[in-house]
Amino acid sequence: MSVSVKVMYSLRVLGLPPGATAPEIRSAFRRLARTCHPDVAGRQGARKFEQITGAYTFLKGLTQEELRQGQLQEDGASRNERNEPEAFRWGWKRWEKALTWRQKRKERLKAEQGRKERLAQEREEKIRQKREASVESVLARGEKAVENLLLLMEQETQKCNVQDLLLRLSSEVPRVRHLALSRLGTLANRPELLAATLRLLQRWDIDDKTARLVVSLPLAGENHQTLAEKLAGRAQALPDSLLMHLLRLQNSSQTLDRELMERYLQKASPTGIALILRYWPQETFVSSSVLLDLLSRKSEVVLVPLLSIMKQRSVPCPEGGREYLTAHLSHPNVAVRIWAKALLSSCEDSGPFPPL
Amino acid sequence: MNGSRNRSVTIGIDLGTRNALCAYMNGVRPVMIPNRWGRISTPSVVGWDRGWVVGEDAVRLSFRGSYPVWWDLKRKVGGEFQALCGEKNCTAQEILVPLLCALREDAEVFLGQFVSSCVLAVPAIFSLLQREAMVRAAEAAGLREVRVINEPTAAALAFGREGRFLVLDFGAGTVDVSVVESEGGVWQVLESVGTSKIGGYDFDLALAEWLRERLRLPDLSPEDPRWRTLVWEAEALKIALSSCQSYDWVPPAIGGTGEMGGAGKIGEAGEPLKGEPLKVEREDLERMVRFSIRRVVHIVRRLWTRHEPEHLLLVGGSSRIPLLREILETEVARPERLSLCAEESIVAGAALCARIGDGRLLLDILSGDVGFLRDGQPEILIPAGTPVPFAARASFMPARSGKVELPIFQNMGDAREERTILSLLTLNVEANVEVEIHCSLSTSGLIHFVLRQGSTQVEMPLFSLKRDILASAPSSGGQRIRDLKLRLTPLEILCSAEQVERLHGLVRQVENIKDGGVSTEILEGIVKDLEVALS
Repeated sequence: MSVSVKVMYSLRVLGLPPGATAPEIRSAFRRLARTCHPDVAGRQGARKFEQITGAYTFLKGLTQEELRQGQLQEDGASRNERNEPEAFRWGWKRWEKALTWRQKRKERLKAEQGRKERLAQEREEKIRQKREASVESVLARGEKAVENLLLLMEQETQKCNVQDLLLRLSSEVPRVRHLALSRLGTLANRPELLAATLRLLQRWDIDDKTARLVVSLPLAGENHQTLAEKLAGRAQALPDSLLMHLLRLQNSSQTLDRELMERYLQKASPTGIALILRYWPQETFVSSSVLLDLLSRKSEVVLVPLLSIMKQRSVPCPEGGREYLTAHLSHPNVAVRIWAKALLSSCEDSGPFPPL
Repeated sequence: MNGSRNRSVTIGIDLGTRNALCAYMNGVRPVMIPNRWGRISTPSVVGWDRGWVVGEDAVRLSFRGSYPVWWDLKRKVGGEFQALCGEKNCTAQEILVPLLCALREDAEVFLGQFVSSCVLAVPAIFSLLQREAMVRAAEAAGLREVRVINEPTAAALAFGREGRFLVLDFGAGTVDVSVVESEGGVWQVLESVGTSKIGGYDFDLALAEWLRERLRLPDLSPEDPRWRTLVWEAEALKIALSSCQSYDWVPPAIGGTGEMGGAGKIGEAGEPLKGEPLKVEREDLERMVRFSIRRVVHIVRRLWTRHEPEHLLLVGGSSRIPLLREILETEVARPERLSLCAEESIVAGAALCARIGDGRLLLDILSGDVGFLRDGQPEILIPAGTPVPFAARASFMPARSGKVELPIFQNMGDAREERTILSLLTLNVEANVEVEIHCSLSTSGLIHFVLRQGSTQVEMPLFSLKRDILASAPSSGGQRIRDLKLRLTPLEILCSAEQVERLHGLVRQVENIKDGGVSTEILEGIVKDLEVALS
C-alpha cells in the first residue's frame, strides 16, 4: 500500500475528512477511544481500539506534507464517485428484470411442492423426532456445562476468600485480625482457617474484641472441642467470656466436659478459676489432686469461691488439705479466714471431736 | 465511607522511593488514608530484625544498630539486587511485599473492610520487567487485582483541567517527564521520558557525605546507624533550605552503639560535636545539586519545544527545590502549582484512576520500544509511544530446522539506549514454515508474547492478562449475549414447549454469571450445537 492510500485509509478509520491536521487527528482518536477503549467497552472494543490505535500511530509519525498527500489522492477518488448515479440507474433496470424472473420461478415451484407435500409430511415427522432427541442432548450438555462452571466459580471464589482470610488472620495489626474474624462466618469450620484462628489465639494477646468475635463464630461441635482442647495451655490469657464459651459453661443443654475443665483449672487465671468453679456441676467436685493444688494457692480471688463452694456442697477435705486450711486461718483476707475456719470446723464435725 | 461499605474498594497506591502513600475515592473526592503511625506518608523502608519491620519502625530500627535496613528499594525492583534476610536471599520485589502488606492493612483498618484491588502508580520509565515485578509484589501482599499506571499521568489526572501540559515528576528516586493532553474527560499521554539516575534521595546522600566531611568523621558504611542519622538529618536540612537561605544545623550526638568505635572515637578528629551549630548555606546545597538539576531541565526543555504545552506542572517532593523552579522559570516556563500538595497528587490520581469509566478515560502509552532480536538484529514490534492496549503480529521464515532462540527486549532510558532483555523464547521449528509472533500489551502495560509454528507454540506469560481488573468491564458480555439470543429465536420454533422453557432457563443462568467470557462461550457453544442439530 502506498503511503497516500494508507493515509486515506487511516483517516477514514478515524472518521476524518482528507487533509486533517495533527491536532484534529489526536482529537478524533480520543473521541473514538472514549467509545471503544477496553476500559469503557470491555473486550468488545478491543478489536476496534486496536484498529484506531494502528491508524493513529501511523498518522502520528507523518509530517503535514505527507498528510496532505492523502488529500490529493482523495480528490481523485471523489471525481470517480460522481459517475455513480448513472451506474445506479443501470443497476435498477437489471434488478427489475430479476424480480419478474423470480416471480415466475416461485409459481413453478409452488406447483411442484403440492405434489411433494404428502411425502414431505411423513418425512418431517421422522425428522422432528430425531431433532427433538438431538435438541435434548444439546440441552443436557449445556446444562451440565453451566453447572460445572458455576461449581468451578464457587470453588474459585471460596478459594480466594480463604486465601484472603488466611492472610489477614496472620496479620500483625489487631484491627485487621478483628476484621478477618468478623468475616469468617461458616468458613471458620474449614480446617486451614480453624488452624489459623487457633494460631491467632495462641500467638497474640486476646483482647475483648477478639474474644467477642471468637465467641460469635458458628463453630461445629467437634471444631469447638478441638479449639477448646488446644487452648487449654493458654487458659491464663483467655478472657472470661471466651473461657465460658469454650467450656460451654452457660449452655445448660450440654453436659460439661469435666476433664477439660480440670485442665483449664490448673492453668486459668484466678478469676477464671472462680468462674469455672461457680459453674461446676452439682453432683460431683474436682478431683482431689487438683483440689489440693487449688487449696495451696494464696490468692483470695481463688480461695473465697473455692472454700465457699466446698462448704456449700460439703465437699470432704482431701488428704493433706487440712494443713492448707489451717494455714489459711491467718490469711490477710477476712473472708478466706472465715471460710477456712468454717470448713475446718465442718471437717472436725465429721471426725472425732478435738479438745477445745 | 458512605456507600462504599458494601462494595469492594480499590485503593490507589503511590509507592515512592522515599515515601509511600495510599488513597481511595470517597464519592468524587480522593481521600488520603492515614497509616498506623497516624501520618499520611509511610517511609518506604523495610528492615529485618528476626522478622519484617516496615515504615517508621524500620527507620527507627536503622538508627538503633546495624540491622539490615533497605532505604532505596523501588529503584532496585526487577533488577539483580539480592539481600540476605534471615537465612533466605530475597529480591527487592520480595522485600517490598511486607511494605505493601502494611499499606493494605492500614487501608483495611481505615476503611473497615477487606481491600484486594489497587491501582499502583509506577514511574513512566519503568520497564515491563519492573512493572511485572511490582505487580507480583502487590499480589503477594494480598492485592489480587492490580492496575498499573504511570506516575506523571496520575498527576495529570489529579490536576483535572483541560489542555496540554507537561508534568515533571521529580521524586526521591526518579525523574519522569510527560506531556499529557486532556480534552472532554480523556487524558492522553503524548510522550514520556525520564531517568532513574537522578532523584532527591541522591541529593540527601550527597549532602550527608558533605556533612560527614565537615564533621571530619571517618568513612561510614551504609548500614552504620551514624550514617543513617546523617542522611536523615541531611534530608531535613535539604527541606529546610528550600525555605531559607542559611540554616544553623546542630549536629546530632551520633554516639553509635559500639561496633564502629563508639562516642569517644568520633570526637577524635578534634571537631566539637556537641551543641555547636554548623552554618549551612543554600549555595552549599545548590553547588552539589546544580548539575543534576541542569540535566532535568534539559529533558524538560527538549519536550517543551517539541510539544509546546500550555502548562508546566511540578509534582514530587524534590520539585520544591528553589533552584529547580528558578532555572525552569528563566529557561522554560513558569511552573504551576497543583492545588494539591506536590506529594499527594500522584496518589490522588491513582485513586481517581480506580474509578475510571465514569466519565474519565486514560490513554497511556508504552514508554520503550518492544521488539525481538533475530540473528542479532533488533526488530521493533511495538514502537515507544504506542497507546496501550495494543496487539502486534509479525512473522518470519526460518532458514533451517532446529531450535530458534528469540530474545524479547525493551529499549529503556533517557535516549532509549539501554536494552533490557525481558525473556528468551525457544521453539523447535521446521525450515521454510512461517513462524508467527503475537504480542499483546494490556492497559496496565503488561505484556504477553506467543511464538507459534503450526500447532507448537511457546508463550511468555510475564503476566496473565485476565488478572487485569479494569480490562474486563462489567458490560462486556451483554452485547454478545443479546446477539446469541437473537440467533436462538428462530431455533425455538423448532423445539417443543418444554425444551424452550429449559433453554430460557439456561440463558437466564448464563446472564447471571459474571465471569466475563467463559459463560458466554458456553452459551455460544449451545447455540451452535442447536443450529447444527436443527439444520
